[in-house]
Amino acid sequence: MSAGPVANVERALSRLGDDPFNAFTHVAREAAFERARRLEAEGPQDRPLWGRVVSVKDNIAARGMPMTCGSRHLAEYVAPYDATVVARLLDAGAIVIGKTNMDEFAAGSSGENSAFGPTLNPRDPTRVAGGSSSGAGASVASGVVELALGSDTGGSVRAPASFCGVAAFRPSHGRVPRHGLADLAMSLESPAPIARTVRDLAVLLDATAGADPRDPRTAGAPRPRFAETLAKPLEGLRIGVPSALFEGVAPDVRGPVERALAKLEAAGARATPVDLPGLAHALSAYYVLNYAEFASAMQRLDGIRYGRPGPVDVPYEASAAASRASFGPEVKRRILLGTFVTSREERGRWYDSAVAARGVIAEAFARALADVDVLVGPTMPVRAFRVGERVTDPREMYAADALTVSANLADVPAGSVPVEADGLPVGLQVIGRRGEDERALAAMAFAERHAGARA
Amino acid sequence: MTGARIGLEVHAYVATRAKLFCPCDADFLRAPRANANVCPTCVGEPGAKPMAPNRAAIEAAIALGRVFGSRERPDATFLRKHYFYPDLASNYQRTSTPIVEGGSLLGVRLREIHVEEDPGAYDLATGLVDYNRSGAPLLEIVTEPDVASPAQARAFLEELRFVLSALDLGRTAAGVKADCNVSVAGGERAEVKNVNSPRNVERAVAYEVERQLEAVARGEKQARETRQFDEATGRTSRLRAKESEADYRYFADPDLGPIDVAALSRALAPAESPLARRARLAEAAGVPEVEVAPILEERALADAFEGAAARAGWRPAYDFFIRDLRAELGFRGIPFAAARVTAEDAAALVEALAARRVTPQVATRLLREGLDRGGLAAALAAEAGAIVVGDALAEAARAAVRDNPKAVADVRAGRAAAVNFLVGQAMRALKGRGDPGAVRAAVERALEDAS
Amino acid sequence: MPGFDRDETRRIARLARLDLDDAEVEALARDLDAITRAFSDLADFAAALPPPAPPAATTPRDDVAAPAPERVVEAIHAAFPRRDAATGAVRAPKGAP
Repeated sequence: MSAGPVANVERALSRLGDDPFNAFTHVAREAAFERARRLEAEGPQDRPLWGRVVSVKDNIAARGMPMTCGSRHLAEYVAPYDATVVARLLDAGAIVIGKTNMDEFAAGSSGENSAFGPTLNPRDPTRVAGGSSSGAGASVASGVVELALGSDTGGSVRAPASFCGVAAFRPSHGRVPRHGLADLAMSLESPAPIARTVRDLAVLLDATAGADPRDPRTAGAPRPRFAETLAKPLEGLRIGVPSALFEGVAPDVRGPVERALAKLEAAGARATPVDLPGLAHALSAYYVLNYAEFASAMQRLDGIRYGRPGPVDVPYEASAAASRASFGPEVKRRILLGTFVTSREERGRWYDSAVAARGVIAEAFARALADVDVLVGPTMPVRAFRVGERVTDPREMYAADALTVSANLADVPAGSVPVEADGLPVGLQVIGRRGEDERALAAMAFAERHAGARA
Repeated sequence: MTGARIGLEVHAYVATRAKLFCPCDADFLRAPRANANVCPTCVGEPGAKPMAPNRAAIEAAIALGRVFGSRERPDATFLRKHYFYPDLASNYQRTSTPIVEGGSLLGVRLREIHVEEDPGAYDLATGLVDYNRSGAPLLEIVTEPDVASPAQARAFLEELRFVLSALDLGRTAAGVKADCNVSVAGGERAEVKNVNSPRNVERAVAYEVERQLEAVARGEKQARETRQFDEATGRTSRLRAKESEADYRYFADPDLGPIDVAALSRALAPAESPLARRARLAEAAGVPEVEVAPILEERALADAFEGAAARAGWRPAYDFFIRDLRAELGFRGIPFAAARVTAEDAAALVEALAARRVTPQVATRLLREGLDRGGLAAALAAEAGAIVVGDALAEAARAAVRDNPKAVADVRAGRAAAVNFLVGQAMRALKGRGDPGAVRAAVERALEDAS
Repeated sequence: MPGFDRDETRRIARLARLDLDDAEVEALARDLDAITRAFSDLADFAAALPPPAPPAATTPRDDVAAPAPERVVEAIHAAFPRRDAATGAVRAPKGAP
């Protein structure tokens, strides 16, 4: 698939053109060529990603490149260090071609909340790409790169994958290190790959997963064995189909997903209905935790150490507020809600409730997955909607997340593969048991093989 | 002091090598310039995460709790305490739940001890911020309001400082700081924040108690409030009211799991309490506790002291350590642990001094040279070996008497100067390696024995 | 359940150091109200639940100092919006007198 490093960069930039889908916030033309030339001189030296071009979501630090997080506030900020996942990609010989556009500070699911304008869906540029890893999804779907690194907090790689017709995977929390990923919601999120094929997802996961002393949540993480697991044939896949995951799903999504399921059964998988109770509360629990952790994560942005500063000749309070005035409306909304739900008076009602609810939902998933290998359903309840269609009511936007957030809440591995569908892409979501990420990816490969959309 | 009740919240730096959540150098007092000891974590760069907490910091809380006689909690969790301030890198401070609780020191009950990260240093006057100390580990030691007087407050802090120092835990040059909660006659308390030394705590508490008593006498009611202490004037003054209504929105830091305190405690070897050691060494040396305390302010020094005492006796060791050794170390501004003189060297020197194999002047010279250039053991062997004592000395004196009958006759005839001749002969036989007084005494004894 | 009136919205905005103009306060108060109503099921659902199991313990790390690479420290300095050239300190607003 790839010629040499320099040829790969040339091809990527040629495909990119003038970035008609607004997928990139930064294109590292010279740096990429320089690196490609050096890699060519060095030769592969056993590096699994040698010379391959990757895009990195703009909330992940790549030293010397901008890290805007899709915001005006950090529009001029240059990352002073490499995120662990970026350092690992570089060690594996990859070339970072640029940083991808995203919903501001990852607060969004459509890709419309970026300070740099919405990312457009390469399959239909009048429609959204999905978010918050919108540019990452578009960079793969438009053929600029085969490999993209995004982040997933409640569906942020699975939504763009579903809308743009590519594949993505949300690993179990603590498999892939978060040091260098700007926080949206610490206990829910992870760096996550987007690629055309499940095989390439495995390549990215093998390169980036594993324990990192700079992220204590990865202590004890097993050595990744994704490609290794894909190489083994999958026998007798047992699929659980929860009706809860089909609730509120549009007919033009339900149809292709049911047809895909039938193909999987024809290929030897066994599908059975399973119960998944409590999902109605998953959205509430997810958002309360999301807001709380987000407000906390955003505290550090006061323009003192980096970012757009406030004036220096006024008191600090006023200066910090002026600095933070550059946040977009969704970011402000979430900060306010997060501040509210963790305030002294409200904590018990909101934050503590969400933490408790999380435990229940995790158990519901464990029980549903007790006698099957994976749960399957649609990734998104709709196909990609038009730009501007849903921005006015935040609750409508949140509803689009309904099928994806529960995986983050329950901390189970979940991915999306595009299935056969006329017109706009439709994603099939595959959810595995917590900690059994390699098996979940193998199930995705099975789905891709027997029901996947033709490229 | 009518019904004065004082509670202290003491902040003490733990002398670790690395910061609490990152491997930056924690010795901020020795940083070459502002913002030298920084990394993405302690400056709160986007995406930077805390590392697992520094074990030495948690162990410090456990060790201190053992001295207080506190109970350990089985585990501790790090919470985020949210507020906005220029020196707070993430605008939340990571602070742990209690690690130990209960126990007491000098009759003051302990409420709890926990660990937290220090913010950076923000100079209000200039607006300049230095993050060298951002992320440095702090112990917070909270007492019950058992302190009843300014003097007691000072004594407690000085004792606490001694314990931290004796355990090698405290960053001594950084001192201890305290927030003082003061109330009188069962009224509300005022919190005087950030008083930076035991002496200033005594002054601040004294002022505050008197201020509150005067207010009570005027019929005024004390409200819960936050105050600050002005070192120059010795007065406290009210901080802006909104300091007291802070909502810190505490919740457990999602980046960190709980710490198994019980496991750390099991792995931490027991050590003699500095209080018990001070009492034991004071009795052994025959001095009041307050006079042996300076030797215990560094564990390596106290260990060396006991080693020297074992070889040379308590008194000689005490005299040498309290005076000479401490003076020379102080002059050079180094702890004993960093000195070129080892515990073994020191013990050998004290022993040689006590046995009069070296004179005090020679001992001082050897000590200084040893500290400045090392090699004390070799130098001591050369010097001390130069002075003959005991039987060899007595033999040389007897030989001088035996071999010089004419001089002996002169001595018996009353010519005292002849003794000098005999001393000179003995010295020659000793090749000059004799303490003049000891040689003379040996010659006189030999003369007596021969008569 | 208390709704989000303008005062409440302003109070929380102050706690979060967010400056909101009147239009924003108006719009946000409405949004927050609608959102918290939509999620109000949570408290009832969670009311009878036991507290969940705590996350896995974090093992403390050894006390070893390892300074960040010089290029990272320099890049951190380069990102300071305002820096005092003489001392290397960050320049923030001065404190209240």
